[in-house]
Amino acid sequence: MGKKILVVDNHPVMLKFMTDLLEKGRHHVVTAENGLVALDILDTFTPDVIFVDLIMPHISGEKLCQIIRSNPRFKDVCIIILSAIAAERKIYTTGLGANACIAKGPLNKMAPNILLALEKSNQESPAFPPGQILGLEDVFPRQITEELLSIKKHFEVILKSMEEGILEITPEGRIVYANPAAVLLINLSENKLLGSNFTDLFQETNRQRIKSYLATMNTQPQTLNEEVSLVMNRKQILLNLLPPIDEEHRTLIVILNDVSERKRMEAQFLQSQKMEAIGTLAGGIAHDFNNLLMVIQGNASLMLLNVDPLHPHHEMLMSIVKQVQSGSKLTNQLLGYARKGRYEVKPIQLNQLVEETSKAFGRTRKEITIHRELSDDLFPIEGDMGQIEQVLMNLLVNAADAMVQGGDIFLKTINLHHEDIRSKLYNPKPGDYVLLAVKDTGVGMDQKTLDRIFEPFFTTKELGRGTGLGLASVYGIIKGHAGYVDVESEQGRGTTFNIYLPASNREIQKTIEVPRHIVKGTGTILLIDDEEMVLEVGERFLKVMGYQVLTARGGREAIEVYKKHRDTIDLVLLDIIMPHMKGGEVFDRLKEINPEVKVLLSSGYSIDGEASQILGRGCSGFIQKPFDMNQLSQTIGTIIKK
Amino acid sequence: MNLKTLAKKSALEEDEFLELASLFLKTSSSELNELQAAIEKGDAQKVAGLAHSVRGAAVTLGLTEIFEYAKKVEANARVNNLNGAMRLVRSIQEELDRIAEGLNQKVKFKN
Repeated sequence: MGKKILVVDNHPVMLKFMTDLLEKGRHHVVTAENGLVALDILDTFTPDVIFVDLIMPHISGEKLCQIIRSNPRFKDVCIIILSAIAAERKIYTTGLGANACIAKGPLNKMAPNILLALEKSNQESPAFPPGQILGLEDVFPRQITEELLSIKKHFEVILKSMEEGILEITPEGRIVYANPAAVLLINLSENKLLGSNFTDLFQETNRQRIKSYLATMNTQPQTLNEEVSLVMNRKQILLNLLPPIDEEHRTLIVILNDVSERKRMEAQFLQSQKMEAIGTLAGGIAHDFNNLLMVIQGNASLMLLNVDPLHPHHEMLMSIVKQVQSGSKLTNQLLGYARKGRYEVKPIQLNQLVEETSKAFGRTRKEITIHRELSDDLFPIEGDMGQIEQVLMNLLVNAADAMVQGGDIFLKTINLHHEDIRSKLYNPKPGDYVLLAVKDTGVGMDQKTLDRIFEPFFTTKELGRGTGLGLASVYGIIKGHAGYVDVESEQGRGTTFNIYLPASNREIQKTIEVPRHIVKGTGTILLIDDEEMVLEVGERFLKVMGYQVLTARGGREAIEVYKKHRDTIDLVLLDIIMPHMKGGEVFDRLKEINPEVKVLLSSGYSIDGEASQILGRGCSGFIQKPFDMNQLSQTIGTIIKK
Repeated sequence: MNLKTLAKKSALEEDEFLELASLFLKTSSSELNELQAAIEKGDAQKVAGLAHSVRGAAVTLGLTEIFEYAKKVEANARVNNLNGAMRLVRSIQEELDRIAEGLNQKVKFKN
């Protein structure tokens, strides 16, 4: 009975010879001039026997054998290799999945071997011992072919070791070669890749572009260096297309460059630059506003001292003070985002803060259930209590707002090592960390929102409800504490914020509750500020508290005044941000004159940790503008008593 | 070279052999044209590839002269030596002409 036979060889003479020979034996013969054509035929044709040449354009015989053998449909097909290189190189038929190998030689010698192999193709067991090559004794020794192969091998080594993915494709876009890097990049096995369509590898929205590239290549061959990246297997790929070498070799070479990492870094860099720029702007605005608020607050407080509580103006003044406090909260959020430095840094037990803050919050939102899972042996952290509280409060408010119908918030603290912080966005400094996770079961966010949540003034809440500053300040504050924040969210599945703060090895100090009223005192205070109005209000404040006041509008004037009155001045209240001579320099000069000088810093903001730096040089304290009389009197009282 | 002898040696029917020979003639003629162009351009790699193809087909048909010439062209081209390549290609061409002549006679005879 005749067999169905496929013959794959690139030489017409061989194809013709094989067809004549096999058809004489009443076999049904189909021919293919290369591996790619063979694959197309095999889509619909299942032969009994395949004769394959080894060296062919468009998918070599070796690869073709592998592809055929990996398809269960062809498990019973007998593969016979018909090759000229069999004479020089040992061909391990079993390794290729072939049943027999015949060396190409003169027709009269080749024909009987072909018929013999065909006859034995029915046998279940291997027809010939592996490694035996039929007709070897009849061929001319071919030294040259070996050289050809070694050159080919040399290129193969280069291609295999390249980092870029290299593909060879036909003018129609069928893949006929892929180096290991390309296989890895595309994440399809070589067997599946060969013969498949290049265009289909890309994300659907990119395919039209690929098609137009291929069309251009076919009409005007040229090297195409694409600057726009395309998406393949969720990776950003830059393409480089090399035109056909000549009329005979019509295939294109495609170089695939995985630029995902580079693109991500670029995006990250742009993002951080943007955050930085907005931060500077926000910080500047906050600073100016704090000075304005300071004056309003001061004047209102002073007026309140002289107005009878029953007078109608008393209520209005109280309202002004309240509004100033709201305004100051807002500028505090802005500062939280913008500031890199911290003030009032001390070791804190995070668990205690989480417990107190969340309990207080829970009382205001009855529809929310708060679960706490706080590690018993949590490391202390170093931070500004008020700022960390602000962070937690912001996260709690956001979590609750994401669960309008009510839900659960899970708070968790745990000790971590920097190696446990697995996130691609940052590279944590070595050491111990404390993790605070805030998880909700709310509506979650899409990727677009996630990308922007830490930007100031970005909000998804309705107009008038959100300021867009909450998460921005979280970001700024955590950054200011040398920590990291990341977020995981899925729409409809809730959101988790993870905050990592460096652990401290310092002991936690007990805090002393300060009384909430004006502490009167005696002594002389030198007040330094470049803002006329702040100076005026401050002077009145201090006088009400019982102090003698000297003022200076700038650094130079301050030094003069201090030199003259150094024996009577008990404390200097120093603004940090001033023209000409900055607060830091003024402090150093005062310190030179009197190493024991007591200086209280005040500022509408502090940039680059300037306040902390000055504090580190032996300054007595810091007070944030706008401050009220209570705060100021207590702070001054504590310092002077020391 | 006698086509009849070659046919006998190939163990094929004479008709069949002649058909293969004319196919070889057709393929090799175009390959030879490309060979000449490649030699003129000094593209040794291409010369080697083409010579390799010619010689592969020649050996199956028992065309030993063509095989030997092509082999020499290929061997030299592999080491970037195209000296004398044109002369060898011309020799191959002469052999092909001879086959063509032989084939023509066979056709005439048949007619």
